[in-house]
Amino acid sequence: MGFGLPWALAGLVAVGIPIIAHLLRRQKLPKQTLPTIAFLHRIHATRAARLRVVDMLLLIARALLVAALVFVAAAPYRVVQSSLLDRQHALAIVFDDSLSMAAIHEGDTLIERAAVLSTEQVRKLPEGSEVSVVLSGRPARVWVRRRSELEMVRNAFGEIDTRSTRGDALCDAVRTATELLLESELADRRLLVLSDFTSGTRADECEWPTRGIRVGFETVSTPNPDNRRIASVEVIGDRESADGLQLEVQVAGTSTQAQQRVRLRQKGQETQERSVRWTDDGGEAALSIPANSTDAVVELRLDPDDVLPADNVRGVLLGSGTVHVLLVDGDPHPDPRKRETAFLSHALGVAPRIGRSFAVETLDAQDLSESAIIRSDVLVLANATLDEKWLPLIQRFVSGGGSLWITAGDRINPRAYGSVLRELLPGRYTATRMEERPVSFQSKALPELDQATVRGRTPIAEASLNAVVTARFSDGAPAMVEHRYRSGRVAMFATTVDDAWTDLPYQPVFVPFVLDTLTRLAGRTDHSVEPHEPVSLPGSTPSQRIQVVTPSGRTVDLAEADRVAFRDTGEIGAYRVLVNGVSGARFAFVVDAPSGESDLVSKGPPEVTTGAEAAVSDSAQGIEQPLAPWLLLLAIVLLLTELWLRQIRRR
Amino acid sequence: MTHVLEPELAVRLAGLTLRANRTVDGLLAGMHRSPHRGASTIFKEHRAYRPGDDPRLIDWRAYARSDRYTIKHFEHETQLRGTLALDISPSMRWGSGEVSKLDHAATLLAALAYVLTRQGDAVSLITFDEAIHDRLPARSGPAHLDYLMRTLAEPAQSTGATALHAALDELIEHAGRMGLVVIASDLLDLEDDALGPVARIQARGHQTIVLHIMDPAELELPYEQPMRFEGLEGEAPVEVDPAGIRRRYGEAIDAFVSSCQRRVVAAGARYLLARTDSPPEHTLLQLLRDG
Repeated sequence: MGFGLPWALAGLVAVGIPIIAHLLRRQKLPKQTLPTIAFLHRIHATRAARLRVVDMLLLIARALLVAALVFVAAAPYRVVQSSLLDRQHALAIVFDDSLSMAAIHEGDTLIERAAVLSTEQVRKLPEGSEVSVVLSGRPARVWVRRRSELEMVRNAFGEIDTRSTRGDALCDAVRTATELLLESELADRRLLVLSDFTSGTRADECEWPTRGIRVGFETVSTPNPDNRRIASVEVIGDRESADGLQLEVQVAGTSTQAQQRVRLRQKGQETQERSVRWTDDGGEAALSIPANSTDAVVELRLDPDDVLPADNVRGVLLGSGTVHVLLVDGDPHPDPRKRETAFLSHALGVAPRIGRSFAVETLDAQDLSESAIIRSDVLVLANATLDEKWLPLIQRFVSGGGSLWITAGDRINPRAYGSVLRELLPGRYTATRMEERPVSFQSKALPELDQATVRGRTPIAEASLNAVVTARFSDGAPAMVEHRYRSGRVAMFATTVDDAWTDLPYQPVFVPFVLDTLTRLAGRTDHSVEPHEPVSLPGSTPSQRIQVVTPSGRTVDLAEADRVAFRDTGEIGAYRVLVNGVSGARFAFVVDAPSGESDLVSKGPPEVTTGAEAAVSDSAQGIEQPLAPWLLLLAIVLLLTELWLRQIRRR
Repeated sequence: MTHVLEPELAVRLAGLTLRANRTVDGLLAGMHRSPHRGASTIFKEHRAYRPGDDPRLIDWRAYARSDRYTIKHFEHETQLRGTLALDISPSMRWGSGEVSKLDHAATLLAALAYVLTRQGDAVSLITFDEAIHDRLPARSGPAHLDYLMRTLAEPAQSTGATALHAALDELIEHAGRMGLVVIASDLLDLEDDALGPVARIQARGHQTIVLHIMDPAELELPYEQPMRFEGLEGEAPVEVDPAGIRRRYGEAIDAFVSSCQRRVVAAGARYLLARTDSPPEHTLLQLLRDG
């Protein structure tokens, strides 16, 4: 038995009120002489015994009435014990299958041990009970949905991946399990959580059920949380230089006296190994990658001599020093100096002199090809309205991490852009107009833009919610609007990048404007993802063969339908994407161990404060039944009894 | 008790005549008819002369008319001997208002004494509880009346609870024969035979009047709150809620009063319930009119 508001029990001192009142009343009875007292004795002789009983019953009734009201205020409940053995009930098991539960203890992972415990719990259930199982590895998944076939449920535990690499989504799982319990028609509902309750679990942040559901916790943890992981890798240097790249590796976790090594793997082959030096701040090691390496990604592995080997792997994206820019000229001119893209090409041509490296390819719109799009990092549509056949490819290109810059001009068809690429664009082009009075630019990043004048523009309206206006015209209208679309970026420019509508290309600020814009667009999103998180892949054509090489060396051929999002990301480490057997700099991603899952120290079950009661062991299983309604009924009965006794006393 | 007999009451009672229903045996002639035939002014009857009759009583005129010796009977007006008995037990000294039962009883007896004295009758007084305390012999005259009044005003101190049976037995010896006996008491002697001597008093030729003195609070128990009631004659206290027992108490008191009345009447005596909240003259008027 417990109390929801135990402090209310202090009101029990009020039980003394009727007792004190009774005693005071007896002491302070007024005295009265009466010659005929003999008659009172005659009457009272028959009443006295009864009155004493009635008075005592009155006193008891009043004291009990006060006590009952106090108990009602304290919100009491009782826990029905041993309900597993004698009553059918709905049981929802939240099963932690996150990475930390893959820790090995005495030859078994914690997931295997939790499966055994869960099987035992289900075995105790009486026939007719209903079981749900929700796995709390991210994302939370319903493993068994309200099944009464207990044999099937027991077998289901054996199918849980015992080498999970998932993050933890315990709160999502608890929410789902609670919803499943509330769907049940069985009155006794119980939520059992099996987890190691490490810091990555974040059980304290969950919204635990408070009424009608008994919550129990079973801690499954390792008593030996000896674990190490590669905490971070810093890539230093330039692969174009003679020294190549340096990888500064930081190792976190419990230190060890045994010699431990970090091994470098490139394209699945181990190429280097270095010993870990332990300091007060942890372990560290340095590795190098030669200048001639073209790998977009490499992998580091720590010796698997701890209880959780899965987090000893870390992929490292090396990236590319060169940004591949594809300029699509929508208004080709025989004179190269008057082409739409001439000024852009010129600006990118001076980039190496200021430390930037761009690989520029220029195509007329009619010469555009799938392969050209796929091998580029940034696609610039300069005064070009593309045929609709390209639009799905461009959308996949951006979704997979590519960037798109659209500049205005007289060849722009606002309606075409507004209909097909509406979702992709950060805004909507409106009707082109020529200004009677030239306007200028305003930009906080490049104040010198205000020196340029603009005579014509295609205004941008209805910017998306996450759009950012990086430059404006002097009248306040957006000049450059950008936003992120999935893994890529898209920018719209409201005027030309040649001298047709503006003198911007002749201004000194034009080169930094172009370089900043392309550099910003080429800065791809972080390709480090969590295990089992879908990854957007670059666009491809049906004729191209797309393959993904997983950290374990497994090669996955992707069908056309799977190319938008690759979901087989359960392994921790470096993934390489091959297009027709060739890997490119942009075609790689890494899957990192979920944060917090490497700390194997159990913090114990959360302190559930309202309604539910933490039960670490199985012995405390039961259902909370509120007792307030019964006590209230008792109080009413006592009140009626008190009134009745008062009437009896007066007779 | 400073005014045993209020002057106004004495004036009102002066016009009243107390006539005993029965002839009394007295030495002094008065307004009361004597059972002794003889010299008197009121003719009663004729009867035939029997040997032994006083020859002086022969009605010679009747002999002349009928040639038979006829005795002429006269009713002698004789002096009444009134015996007043006052209960002075502690229960009589209680009253729910300003007037105690003893005050009220003394007032009634004083009025009777005044009336009897005014018509030349002899009045004696005794006070009693468990025994007789004051004993004033039967006398007439203003001096005796004054003495009697003072005794009523300050009766002897009570030494115990009411013991009617013993006190009335003693009263029989004191009252002599063929008189008027007035007993003023609350009759709170619940012994079965407490009123047994009344019959014997009646048998001695007395006309007995029992004035049952009761306080209205005794009859109605008008208290509302629970109280601790205490007795006056050594009874144990009792804590009761009067509201809860009023009905049953009323029934018990009614039964007690009825019982007293029934026993007194059965003995041939008169019973009169005298409530202390009722004016004394009302009680006396009722007594004298019905008498």
